[in-house]
Amino acid sequence: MKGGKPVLLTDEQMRLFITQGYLILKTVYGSSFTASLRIN
Amino acid sequence: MKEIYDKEGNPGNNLLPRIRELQKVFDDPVITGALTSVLGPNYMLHAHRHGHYNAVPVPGGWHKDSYWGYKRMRNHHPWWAMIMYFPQNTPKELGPTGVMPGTPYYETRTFAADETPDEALASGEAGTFALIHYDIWHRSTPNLLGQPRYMLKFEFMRTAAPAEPSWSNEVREWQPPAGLSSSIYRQEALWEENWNWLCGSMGSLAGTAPDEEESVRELARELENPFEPAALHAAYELARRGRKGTDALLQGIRHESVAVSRVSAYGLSAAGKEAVQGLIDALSDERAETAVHAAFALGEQRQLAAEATPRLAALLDHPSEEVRRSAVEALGLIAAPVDLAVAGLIRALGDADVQVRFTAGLSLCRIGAPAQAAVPHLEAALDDENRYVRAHAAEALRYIGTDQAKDVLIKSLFNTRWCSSTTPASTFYP
Repeated sequence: MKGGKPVLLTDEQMRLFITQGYLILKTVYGSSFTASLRIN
Repeated sequence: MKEIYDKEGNPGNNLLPRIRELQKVFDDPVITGALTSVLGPNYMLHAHRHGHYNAVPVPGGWHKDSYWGYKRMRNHHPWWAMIMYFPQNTPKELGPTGVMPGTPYYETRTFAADETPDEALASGEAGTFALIHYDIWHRSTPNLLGQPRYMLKFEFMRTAAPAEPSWSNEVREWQPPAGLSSSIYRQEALWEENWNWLCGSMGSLAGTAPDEEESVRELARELENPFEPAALHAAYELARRGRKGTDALLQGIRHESVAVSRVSAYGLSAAGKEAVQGLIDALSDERAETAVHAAFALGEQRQLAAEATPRLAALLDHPSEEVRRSAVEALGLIAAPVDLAVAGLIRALGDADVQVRFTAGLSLCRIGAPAQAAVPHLEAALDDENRYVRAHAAEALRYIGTDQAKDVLIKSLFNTRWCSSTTPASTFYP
């Protein structure tokens, strides 16, 4: 898994972060990365 | 990961070096982009991190997190954020974290029922994460499946105030998001201030509403409203209302109720230059909380409050630890005149109170290279008895970033290097 150019938030996501106090997002590499952690 | 938790227990703050693969999470472009957007490009991964393991079928209690076990006055401006990362598929039955929308700005719990449809769940496929304002109310939800559920919590600090938007900004003016839940108390002034602050403005609310006596009087009364969202709304609305609004807030910061004093400080933190002299005067108040609140508001005013630096430095002799902690934080945010601020922070590294010492380290991170004079003192702090004093000293050396600072830091890091393969069961081979 490599990094990459940061995926910046949009205006609407920033508005939601300011008003709600959170955002639920998903990483690009999350699923492929899970196997390497051996969580089960 | 499961084997480590089963055999060795929770690695606590050593989560990253013990499970080195996790560092890759923080190279993910969605994570780096989200953190850059909210905290700017030079954000710091804090030394406290924790892998939560949840296998219980009952919900946890609603709470706000402390600062790695310590208390401080919470910022409304996004100086701190947190990521809760879910490494496995986490349907709602597996007990994801629940957050209460709109609550990061409230010290008190503003909702009655534990179970409410307003709760938002950080559920989703492996790799889902919640980016939260550090101070939002949250809890763990019931794990009804009985399978392991991990949530890896990492904390981040902004090290530089914004000079321009650090997200993909197209529309400069504040506007509320479409479809905002009606359950969220409308804090238009606070939201606008945060948006403008993130765009690089300071004291953006000052003078944006007429200072009519009747409205100022009514808002000043509202500061005493026991429902915190209403009191806070009044504080930020007063910040719009020029000299009269600022004077009402300066009266509020000396109010006999500490809660009124605190919400008034938030208004003053956004009221612009006009509030600075009154806040400097409030630093001398006999009540420690008033001085703490004033120092907080001055710190948020940053360079507009440079004339407060001598008085804040003098507060490093104050008998109250809470006052000294607040003064140290404000010195790092104001950072002008820089020599005076750095001299104060060097003194603070030798304070008797752990929190004063580790806050001095964070403040020196924010000053960066102009804090070069602190390097020998930070080197001594690397041997402090407290883990966060040591960790923040190491970070400060990194952010100072001169050759001398790096040499001290590298030597220390090699001396304390920890091998992620070495365990009681495998002490040296293979």
